[in-house]
Amino acid sequence: MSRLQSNLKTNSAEFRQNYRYNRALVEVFREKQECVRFQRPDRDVQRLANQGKMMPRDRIEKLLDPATPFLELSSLAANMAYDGDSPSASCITGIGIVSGHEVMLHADDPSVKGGAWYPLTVKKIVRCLDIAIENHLPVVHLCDSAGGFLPLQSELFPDKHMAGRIFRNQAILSQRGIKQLSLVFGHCTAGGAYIPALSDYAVIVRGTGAVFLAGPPLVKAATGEDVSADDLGGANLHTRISGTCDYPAASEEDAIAIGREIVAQWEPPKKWVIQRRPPDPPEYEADEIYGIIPSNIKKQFDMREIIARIVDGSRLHEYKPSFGTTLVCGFANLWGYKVGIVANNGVLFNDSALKGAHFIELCNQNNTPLLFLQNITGYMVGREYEARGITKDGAKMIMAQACSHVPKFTVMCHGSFGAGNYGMCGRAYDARFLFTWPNHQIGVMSGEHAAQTLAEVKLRQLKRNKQPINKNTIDSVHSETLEAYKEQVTAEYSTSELWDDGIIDPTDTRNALGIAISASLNAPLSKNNYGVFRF
Amino acid sequence: MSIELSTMGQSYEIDVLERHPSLVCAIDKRSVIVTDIQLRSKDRSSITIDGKPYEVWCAIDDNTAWIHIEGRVYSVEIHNRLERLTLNKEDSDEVRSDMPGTVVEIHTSQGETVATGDPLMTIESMKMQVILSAPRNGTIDRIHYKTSNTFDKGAVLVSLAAVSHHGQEK
Repeated sequence: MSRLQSNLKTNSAEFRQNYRYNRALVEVFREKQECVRFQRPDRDVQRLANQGKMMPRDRIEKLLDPATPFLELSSLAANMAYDGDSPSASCITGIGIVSGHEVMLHADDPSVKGGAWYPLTVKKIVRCLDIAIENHLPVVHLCDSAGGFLPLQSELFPDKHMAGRIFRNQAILSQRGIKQLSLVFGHCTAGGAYIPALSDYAVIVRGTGAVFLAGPPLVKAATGEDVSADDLGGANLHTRISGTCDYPAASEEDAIAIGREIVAQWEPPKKWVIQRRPPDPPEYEADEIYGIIPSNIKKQFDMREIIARIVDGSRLHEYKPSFGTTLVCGFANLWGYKVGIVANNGVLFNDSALKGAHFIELCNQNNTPLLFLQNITGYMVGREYEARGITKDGAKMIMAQACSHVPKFTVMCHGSFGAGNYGMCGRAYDARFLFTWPNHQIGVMSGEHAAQTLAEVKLRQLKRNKQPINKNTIDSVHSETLEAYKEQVTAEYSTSELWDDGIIDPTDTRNALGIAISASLNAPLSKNNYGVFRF
Repeated sequence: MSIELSTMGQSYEIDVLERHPSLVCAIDKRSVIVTDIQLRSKDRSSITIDGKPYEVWCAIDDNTAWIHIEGRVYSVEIHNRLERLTLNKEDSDEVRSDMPGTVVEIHTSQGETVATGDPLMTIESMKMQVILSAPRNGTIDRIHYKTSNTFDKGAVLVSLAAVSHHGQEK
């Protein structure tokens, strides 16, 4: 494999301008992350301390093996929702190492409204359990939640992918032999009570831990029974009488120690054997990525420059280098793991779409995971391209991609507009992990384009109805659309709505993907099988 | 797959014809038989080429091999074929666009001397801006469009002055 030669001019004015711009974006992201992770009202911090409870991040730190990485997912989920009342969507999810096992962690955050689940909390927990199912990752639940946030119950309870899905996913995990452990630190009320109940193992902390379908106030209201939380669903009741939990723990530290010992009993994972070589770092510095990504969303850049800063030794075996050049396809190693990279270098034409479809099939044939690097404004439009079948060629790429049996990973590097998002394994296509860079923008089309389109539609409508054409009306359609888009196309909005598994600093891409690929190997490969390609 | 090597300013194409019982290679179509390849240590080996024995020391740094043989050191560059294919762009006098679009900005002017890779023009198509750069060293002969002009697919956007066979620009 040959080493990619960078053509980046690191002393150019453009590089420096891009660098400053993207660094500033990353700093804003880091500040927000710091804030949602650690800023809590004193009142809440004090309340937890008085109960002898740790903050959820301290629990996680004590649970994980020392000096091992933790890949936190969706740290800025719900960050633009509920007026910021639900930092990180009131829960923490991520992949870490416990007693030598890769596990998915789900931790409630009792420092926010008693750990109550907002609609986006439910979405985040469901997603984390989806990841566990897809990648056969054991799950450790750190339970401490008051249950669903009642004022918003209609947005978190009734539908297919709402609260019920958490417990459905738990059952499916167990059915597939994927282990789950619950550590009950606080209250698990109502639906939340099923999390330990549906776990294979459950530990409960004496004094503060409790599991019940209805808490004392609801019981009082329903039947008049007057009972304390501990008597109703505490450690003694559940480990001696009901059997809902298995191990009583004297303290939170004790529960964590028992939990670590339980995980240590589990059989080692049976990972499928991927082609691998000893890893070596990229030849070029990762932080030069800041200087590559243009500050203007419209500006094109060579995705090979990004690849050279992510993959081992900056080496890429490029497939069909002289054909369909707006899509870069090739084999590389990432932390030693062989991957097939599909990266945008411009608009998708007929030839690039066909090349993409063929390369995806090659990766499936060779059991090589796929990495999609998105920067796409779509498939080429116009009569000439339609006549040559751009729609059916794009459909072939979508077919090959959607039916892939190898694990897929997507990084949203710059822009993701229109059908290009589909072909390049956007959120709907079950990428095992999908990460977003802070500069990223996403939408069915760019804001400016949507504004132009809607203004044009409005103009035609007025003409058709023979109404007077008022420039102000047209302009306001234009500016209102642009304004709405401006917020909704951003990476922050995207991650707030959980359209991804989190924003990452571009310089962390290699490490995040390394953990993601390693996790994906736990799930056995299914059979290669496609639908009908339209020729 | 053939390998392309260059040393002392000359490049050679090498094809492996046989591996057993002896290694037979074609170097620019001339075949060479290599026997008795013995690795003495990590970087030292003895080999017999067309019946003549040699002691060889070799160090490899990335795409360059440093070979010490009969008291001389040769630096040999190993070219990857894929890389060569991608680099093998047409040495054209004309800069064209693969798709219809609009001129956003012109970075050069008529008569200006440019080097390979210098930005010539920024164009926009499908909401994406692309910088077209000089395919080779030369002088700008003509810029065919003005800023905000639209053009069709395949249109010539910038022409470089043609180069005569003696390497002089006409």
